[in-house]
Amino acid sequence: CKKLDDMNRDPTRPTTTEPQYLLTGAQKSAMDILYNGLQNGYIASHYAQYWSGNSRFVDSQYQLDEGNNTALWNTLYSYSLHNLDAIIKMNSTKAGQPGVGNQNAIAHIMRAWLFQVLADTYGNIPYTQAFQNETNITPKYDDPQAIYNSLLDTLQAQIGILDASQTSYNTGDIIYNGNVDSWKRLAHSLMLRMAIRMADANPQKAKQIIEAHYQQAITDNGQSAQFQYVDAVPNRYPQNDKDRPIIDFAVSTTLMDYMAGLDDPRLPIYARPSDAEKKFVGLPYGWSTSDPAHKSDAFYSAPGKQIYSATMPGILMGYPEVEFILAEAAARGMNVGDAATHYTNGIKASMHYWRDLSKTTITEEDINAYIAKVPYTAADWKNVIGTQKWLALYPQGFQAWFERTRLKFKKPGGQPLFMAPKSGVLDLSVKDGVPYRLTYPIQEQTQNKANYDAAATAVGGDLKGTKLWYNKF
Amino acid sequence: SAYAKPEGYLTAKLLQADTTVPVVIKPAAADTSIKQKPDTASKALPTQDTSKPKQDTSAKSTPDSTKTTTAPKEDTALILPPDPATAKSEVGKFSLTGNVKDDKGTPIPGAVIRNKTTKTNAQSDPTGNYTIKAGVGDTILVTAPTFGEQTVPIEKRGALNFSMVPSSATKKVLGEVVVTALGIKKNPRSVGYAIQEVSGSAVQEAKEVNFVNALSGKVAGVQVSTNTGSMGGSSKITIRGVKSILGDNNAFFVLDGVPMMNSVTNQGGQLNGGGGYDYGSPLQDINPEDIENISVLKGAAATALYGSRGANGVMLVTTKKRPDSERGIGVTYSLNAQVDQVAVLPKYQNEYGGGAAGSFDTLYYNQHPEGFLNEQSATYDDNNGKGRYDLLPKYAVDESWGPKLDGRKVRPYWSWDKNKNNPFFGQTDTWSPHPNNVKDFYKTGFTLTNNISMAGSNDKGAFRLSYGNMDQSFVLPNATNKRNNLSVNGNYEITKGVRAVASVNYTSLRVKGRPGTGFTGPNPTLQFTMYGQRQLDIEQEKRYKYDDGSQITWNRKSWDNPGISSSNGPYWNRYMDYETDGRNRIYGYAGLDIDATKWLSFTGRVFMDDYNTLEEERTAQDYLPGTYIKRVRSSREMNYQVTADIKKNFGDDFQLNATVGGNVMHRLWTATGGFTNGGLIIKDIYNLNNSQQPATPIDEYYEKQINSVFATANLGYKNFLFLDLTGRNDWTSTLAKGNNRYFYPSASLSFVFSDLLKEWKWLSFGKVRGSLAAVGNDADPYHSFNTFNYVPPFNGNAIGQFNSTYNNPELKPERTTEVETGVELKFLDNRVGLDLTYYRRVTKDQIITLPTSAPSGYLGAYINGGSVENKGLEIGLNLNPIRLKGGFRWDINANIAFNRNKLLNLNVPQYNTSLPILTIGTDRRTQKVSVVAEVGEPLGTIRGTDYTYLNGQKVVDSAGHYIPSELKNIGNAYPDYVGGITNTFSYKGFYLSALVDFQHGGEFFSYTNLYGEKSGLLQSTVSNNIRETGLTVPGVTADGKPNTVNISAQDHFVYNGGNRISKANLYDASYIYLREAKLGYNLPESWYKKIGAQNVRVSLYGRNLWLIKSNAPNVDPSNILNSASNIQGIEGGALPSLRSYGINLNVSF
Repeated sequence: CKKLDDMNRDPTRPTTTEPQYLLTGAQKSAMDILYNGLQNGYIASHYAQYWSGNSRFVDSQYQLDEGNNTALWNTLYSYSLHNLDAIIKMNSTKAGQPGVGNQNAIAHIMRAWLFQVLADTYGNIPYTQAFQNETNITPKYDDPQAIYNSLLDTLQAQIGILDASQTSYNTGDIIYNGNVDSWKRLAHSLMLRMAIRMADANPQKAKQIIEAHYQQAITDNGQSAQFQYVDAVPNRYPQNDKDRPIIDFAVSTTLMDYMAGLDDPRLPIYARPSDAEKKFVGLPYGWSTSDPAHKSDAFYSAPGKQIYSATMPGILMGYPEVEFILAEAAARGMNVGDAATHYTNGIKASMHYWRDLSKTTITEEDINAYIAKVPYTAADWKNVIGTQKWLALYPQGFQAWFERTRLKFKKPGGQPLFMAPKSGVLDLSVKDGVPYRLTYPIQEQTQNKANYDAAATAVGGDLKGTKLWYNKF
Repeated sequence: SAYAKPEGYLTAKLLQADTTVPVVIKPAAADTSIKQKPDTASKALPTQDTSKPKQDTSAKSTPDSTKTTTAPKEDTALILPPDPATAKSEVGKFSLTGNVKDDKGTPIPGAVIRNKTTKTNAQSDPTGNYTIKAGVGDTILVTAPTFGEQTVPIEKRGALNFSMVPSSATKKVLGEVVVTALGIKKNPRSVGYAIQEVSGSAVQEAKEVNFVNALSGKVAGVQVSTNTGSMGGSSKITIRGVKSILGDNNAFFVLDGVPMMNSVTNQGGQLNGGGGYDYGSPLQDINPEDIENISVLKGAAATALYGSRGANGVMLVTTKKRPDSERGIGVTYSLNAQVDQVAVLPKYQNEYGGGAAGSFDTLYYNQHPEGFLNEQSATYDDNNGKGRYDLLPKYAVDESWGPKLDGRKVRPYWSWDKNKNNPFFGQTDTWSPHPNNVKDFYKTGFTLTNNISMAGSNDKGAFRLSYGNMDQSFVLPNATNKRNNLSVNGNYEITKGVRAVASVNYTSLRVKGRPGTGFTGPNPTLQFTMYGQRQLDIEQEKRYKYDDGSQITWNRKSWDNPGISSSNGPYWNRYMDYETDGRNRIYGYAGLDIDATKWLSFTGRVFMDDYNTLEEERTAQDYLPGTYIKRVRSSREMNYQVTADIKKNFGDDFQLNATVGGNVMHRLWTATGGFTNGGLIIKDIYNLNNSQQPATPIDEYYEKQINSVFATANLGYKNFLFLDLTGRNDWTSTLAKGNNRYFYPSASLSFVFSDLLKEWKWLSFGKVRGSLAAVGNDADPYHSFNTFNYVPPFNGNAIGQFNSTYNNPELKPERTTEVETGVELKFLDNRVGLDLTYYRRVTKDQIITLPTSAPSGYLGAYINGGSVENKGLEIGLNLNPIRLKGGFRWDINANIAFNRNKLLNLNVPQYNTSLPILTIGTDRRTQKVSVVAEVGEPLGTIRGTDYTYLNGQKVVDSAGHYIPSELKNIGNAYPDYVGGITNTFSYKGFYLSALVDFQHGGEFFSYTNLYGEKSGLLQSTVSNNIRETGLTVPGVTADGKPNTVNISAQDHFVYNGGNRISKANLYDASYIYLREAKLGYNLPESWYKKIGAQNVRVSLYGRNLWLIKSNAPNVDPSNILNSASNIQGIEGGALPSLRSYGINLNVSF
């Protein structure tokens, strides 16, 4: 009966879409989840020890809220990466048409960005068998180093494919508005990010890649890759407090005390004075409210207004990070110029970034005075660069967490910067004061059991305390 | 089929020829509202076995079963509503004559002919002839030893002859018909599967706003779950357990042949303990006063004629079609007044107030003089040079781990905001308990229901009009629920053998202020039980806003910031952030019945159910920007049905009743509306245009059609052996061509073996039955082809988003096969009745949203897969221990049902894979507790974390906290058995009945207990002085040594509670409940004769009277439902259950 068959096609919904629509969806969904309070706040900014939980302090004690973990995994795979994969598949039928090469290259670069985030968060992840739902709903997990190699090859290939003489996305690219050169710079910069993360695990390859790409990377804040949110629902920065005050987090004493001690000009941007006393007061990390010394939330500083602004950009990769990568590369003896210069450039870039973004006054004198207090010290490069990179990465919780566990840096001079959760760790696998990874979302244990089991073994045990391949210390 | 019961054309004269009227007496247990499968033993002829409306004017006709009723026999004094014992006295008596013969034409001497109206008797003479004074409208009862009774109303002057049917085994004859699928009426003897009938009075006297809730405990194998604290909230009605892993498991309701749409449209998060309003089951639109009878079809054989829609069992509702009085125009008025009270509240602690760590904040005059009236008004001075100060409770903390309520002077939250001209500015209050601050928030609810109906009939036709209104003011402030019902039905014989029937029902529902459910602000339990401060004074909270309209909440951010930390005050929630909704619904049918020949007739019907629902949700603009959500849902279902009915005898021994027909079902439903973005422009104005940024529209459209042909045949042999065959073929629009056609067969056999064992005097009646059937289910619309979602564009850039679930063109219908067998026995002059049913049902190829690994690209895929087995035992028991000549009578009606279900496999042939486990839903807050389907385990298995154990001891870590286990199975949401026992005592117009229902087994995870303890609100957080002394939990460290670490009470509930260890807040859902008690009285005739009434009945009742036994603290385990979905066993902050008392008055004229 033909009529019955027709009736089952929803007449009100589209069955087709366009690459640029998928691209916007991929960019926005990825940023929405990576800068969401539940993921960036309760997971990444906790693990980076930027923030501590107020009433939900158990999250600061590493009792993972599985829903937040699942949402991170599900959104990046089934939405962001799925869209990017679909662009590439959709365009495969239009090979040779103008712009298709650039469109696919941009999709591949974004894909590399997100796969690296996933691999750095979990370790082994599905990669080669992903997005084959019509034939395979149980994709196997791949080794993260193999994924890194594949992503590096992919990025290298895209650099060759991107062609500024051709169109790319006329609309839909919120990050670079279809600018091919910008994407090319980002591809080089992402290769630097990958390479520095494997600097201890595979120093030769790291050196080779960084030396080959550092000159084509991002060179100023204007070239940074970021997703500029707008003040219109539902396109505001995900963790903004326009509709409802966000009372979940206080800035940790770790961040607060270190910045206050240096009179860091960024402090009034990173944090706001406490409600009760109008003072900058950090909250000790991972502290139960049952301690009689724990005061009301109003006595502690919440993250700054800029950090909760509706128009806060979602940062994919910023210029300061590139400079700190190069500073570290130089410190490690790679041939990328002077470590101190890159280090200073990184601090300056960060200061300028926040100055321009929040339209506050930070003078060059302020900056120079600050740099004088945290001079580059070759012998202490790990702590010096690590600390400043950590400050500059704020509020990119995920990248800051990865760098924290990779470099294990302390304050310049070797005093501890981070603290173990004040009221103790609730996850017994976490023995070094911070998780090295997230456990796989629970449903993988049922929906993809054989592959999950293999991955859990390969990664060294599906625990938050399991070090990933790039954690050598 | 019998969508209308033609009235009035049956005259006494027509009964003469070969009538063998199956006399209808309500069985002994009728007063308990439940008709167990009636024990008919009358040798009814085949023509009486069927549902065919007897328009046949030939002599074959028999009275409609519901038409003739007997008055209570002398040894009973039952009130049999609606059963006026007497008809109007009339002048103009005449001498009625006739004869009484047996079914072979032999005269019966000595039969007693009683005119029930005039209460006079006569006897038949040796030739069977009799004479008695009678008038038109009188009712004649004929009894004779060894024959069944007959009751016949006199329609006109003229001879009235009776043909008596020998009663089986010399016992009293009880005859009745039952309503089966498609409304086909059958002699219960011929039914080869379990069927149970409930009379309308079960839902009329002790009323529930949603009549379905009144069925709890009354029918074996039917489980009704609800949450009485949620005004008009959802009811989940499952018959014989859940069968579908992810699909709908609720019974299908058919009212006079009209399939009633009953989809609950709550928002997703509402289902798993998340937030949202429970808009309830649209079924509550039905006016309980219109219900004559409910026929419960449980098994697949009983429902196979409904095809895919009957898979979860069917409730056939038959409405009243005739006057409650037996003749002429009758008017019935009923009045029902009911009060509702909160029955079960948690046990709160009253020793410690709000805050954290047992401490206050301080505010010094010297630092903030603007916070004080003057320096002297500051309460304290420690003489340490800092000056005078006040103690401030931690307003922003929504927990009660604050200081001891010791009467100290503190600055309450309402003593600030000088700039808002607060007259209480600067005042202090004592820090003291207010034990009744929750109880006093709830008021006494009141529900008034009026109903008036008028009905009449004559030779040509009949009609009934009914108007009812229900006006409920709920236990919560600013919560009302009003319903108006108007219904008209009638039938008319246009010409001989052609009858027109029609019915129209209109319902209007207007609701204001439903409570939120689960973890959402408008749920009052959120701030009373899950979070909150215990010391609050509810009287002060009634002042919830300042003159400028801004809110005063106990949960202010700080002393100088009146903004909301996380919670509105309770009265702000009720009066400012409220929902309204309403529904207009029209349903009914029209059609023709045509008698072509003596053995063949046709019916045609159009059925319609059409409604529009408006839902509006508001959040006031204040410290929050305000929102408005509006949804308009329209739903329409049309059914077009034609049947041909055949009745034929083959010789004396064989009878055939058959129906063939076809049906086209078409359903269309939409949702439109939208929600504001970025807040409201003008406060307190709720319109989508009053949105700071463009409102996002809601615009959805669904359509579905099923074409069907069906046939059924019932072949009877000598009225004791029956074979019933049915077949139905559906073509559905929701499956792709090639997979969209499916056939449902059934066969059942009924054998009344007691007919062959007449020498067994102790056995009144015995029947065995057995059936086999296959039914199935199709998909929801639009799951065959993939589409893209609409996402609001980003700054002018359109967004492409895949559906998260992969639609599948290869879907097939899911299939269910069921084997059922049962036995019905009556012993000892019907003093003992037993009904046993065993069934085994397997549902395979289930249509499920298979959750798929996100890296595959989708979070789920629609597929066929998995098999579920349900098997069970249903036992119905009727006892009549006392039956005194004086009129006293005691009846016990009990039922119990055991259902065991098991997921046999989760094979997914399409992907050539199989899953070990499938998650149905996960609780929203802890994200640990899931309801799962695991192979080899029952559906409804609850999974979460347990303690870890070492040699049977719980293991603690070095900090003295329990160590949670991996996720594992920790319980099951569904009970081992459920049932109910009704005891009824009756004596001369009085009756008293009490229903105790019970559930054994089943577990639930409780937010009430988890968060009530974590937030320091419940009594358990102060018991044994744990706040003062801390506690050392029993357990051992990893090396086996006893735990010696003392931890604080708060740490205990944070670290050892359900947030980490699900098992800590998992409770047994068993209960025993005194669910209903009724005391009724049929007023003596002399009392109401003057006003011309025929019958006046008054009853007092109570519902949900006493939770006799429960193992779960702080909640009513029978009252924890979040929704009618499959996510059960997660109590998401249940609203307190209600206890109701009412009075019911029923007057018939």
